[in-house]
Amino acid sequence: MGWGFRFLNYGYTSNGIMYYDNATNTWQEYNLTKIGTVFLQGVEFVNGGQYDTEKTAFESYKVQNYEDSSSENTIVGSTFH
Amino acid sequence: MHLEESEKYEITNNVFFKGIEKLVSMRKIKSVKFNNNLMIGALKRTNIAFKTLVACFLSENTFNKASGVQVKNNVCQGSYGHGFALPYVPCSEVGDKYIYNNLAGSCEIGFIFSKSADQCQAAADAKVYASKQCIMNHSPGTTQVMFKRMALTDCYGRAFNLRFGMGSDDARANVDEFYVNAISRPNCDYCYGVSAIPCANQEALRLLAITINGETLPDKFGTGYDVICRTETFDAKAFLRDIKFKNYRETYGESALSQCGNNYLFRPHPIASDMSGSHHFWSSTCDNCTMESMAIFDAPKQSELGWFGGCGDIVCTGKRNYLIEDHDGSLTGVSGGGTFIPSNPEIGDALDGCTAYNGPMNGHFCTRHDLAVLEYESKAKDKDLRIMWPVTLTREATGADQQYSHQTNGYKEWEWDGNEPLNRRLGRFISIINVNSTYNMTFLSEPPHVLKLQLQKRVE
Repeated sequence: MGWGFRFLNYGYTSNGIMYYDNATNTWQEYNLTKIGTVFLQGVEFVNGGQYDTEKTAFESYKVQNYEDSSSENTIVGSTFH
Repeated sequence: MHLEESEKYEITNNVFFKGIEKLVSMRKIKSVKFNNNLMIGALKRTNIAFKTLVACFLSENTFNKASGVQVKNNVCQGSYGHGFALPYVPCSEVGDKYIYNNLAGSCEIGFIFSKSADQCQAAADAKVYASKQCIMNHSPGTTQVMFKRMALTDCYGRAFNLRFGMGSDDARANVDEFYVNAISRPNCDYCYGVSAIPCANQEALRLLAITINGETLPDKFGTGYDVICRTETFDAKAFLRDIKFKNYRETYGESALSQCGNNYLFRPHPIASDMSGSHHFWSSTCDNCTMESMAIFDAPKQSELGWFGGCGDIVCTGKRNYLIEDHDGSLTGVSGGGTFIPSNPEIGDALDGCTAYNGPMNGHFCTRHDLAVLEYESKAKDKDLRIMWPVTLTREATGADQQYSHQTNGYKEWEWDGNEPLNRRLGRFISIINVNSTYNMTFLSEPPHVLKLQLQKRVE
């Protein structure tokens, strides 16, 4: 069903690690620095992954607690079609 | 667009055009401002057999003022499912307007609200047009819901419902400042009819029902969100102020509305066999409406007779024991106001000042304010182990009021083991009474050893 690209804004850098905890069967974070700020203005997403919600045209995942706390992700005046 | 476990986003002045299931969805977010965006065309999947949640905008987590989330001034035009699927906000923040002035049109359901963390949950400032159901509610863990400042037009199935789960001995819904118009463009000769916006068989408000459970997004959604599958609670009432209904009629004179009609204000939930909430109106109007279009008071279902999960030898009596009261006459236009009695001729025919409406309304309107709902239940150990009903309330004749007797059934069977009813019906009863009167209360068998009684509140 559908096709397209996905713009993934992923908030982790490689300063720390993620590791799999076999005791709890979950992914754990260790000393991760989280960034991932974006500024998109007037961007046209054409035939993006929104035709399949598993591959949405724009996805943000774990973008939080970034180093420059004054930064803000901005998506303005863009189209997704 | 999907945001997950993310924060500090400002998403403004964007256009989202055509997408499968969700145009914009968010989960575990904070400090996100989603303002002034246009969303057009949330489509359903066509390659799967089951129905999935479709929405222009879906938030799976709750918001409060401290979370820094804003969803303001957005438009959803066209959704096979929901326009906006949003959490309730705490009642104490209903005036803070961080979810504000969003507009949905041409949706199956304009706005659907899901549970917040608070026992008093609120929603406000929504606008919906030309949708099958404009506002959909049903949330668990709630003792009070509050709705304010909404405009709903051309809701061609139902404008809104009042529904939540958990309840209490003092459970209520508050609705203020609504504008609800059945047909917003009565002179438009191409707007309504089979090939345009449906304009027949509408209802403005599905009356309040409260059950012990509730539903939450995204596990439950769509028109099935309003299902009743567990027992109803002990108390339910709604207080409504400054509600402006318009154009609810059985027939219309305008040539452009020849296909329109049978549009009514109030109707009980069809599955609410044991209790519908009473509704109290102040400063509310219905412009270009008729008395006959005020309600359809469905009679109890004959299909609920019987002992296999039903109400036994007499019908369930919840649909005969609630009130709709126009406290100041503004809603009905009757000087001094009055009270609607649903589907209960034993009382309506006996009391002075009551007029029968035997058409689809199937009720009485009484120019009196001395009716109330008596709620009573067995609190004994055997409250759900033995049958002590029906309860017969007999009122002696006084003045111009005639004597009458009125039977009330216990609650229906709601406890099942697979396909087998467990015969655990509650000894719980809801009866209309006339206050300042003396009644003889007779149980079919030995009365409960411990009986709790309360009069349902008529004012806040």
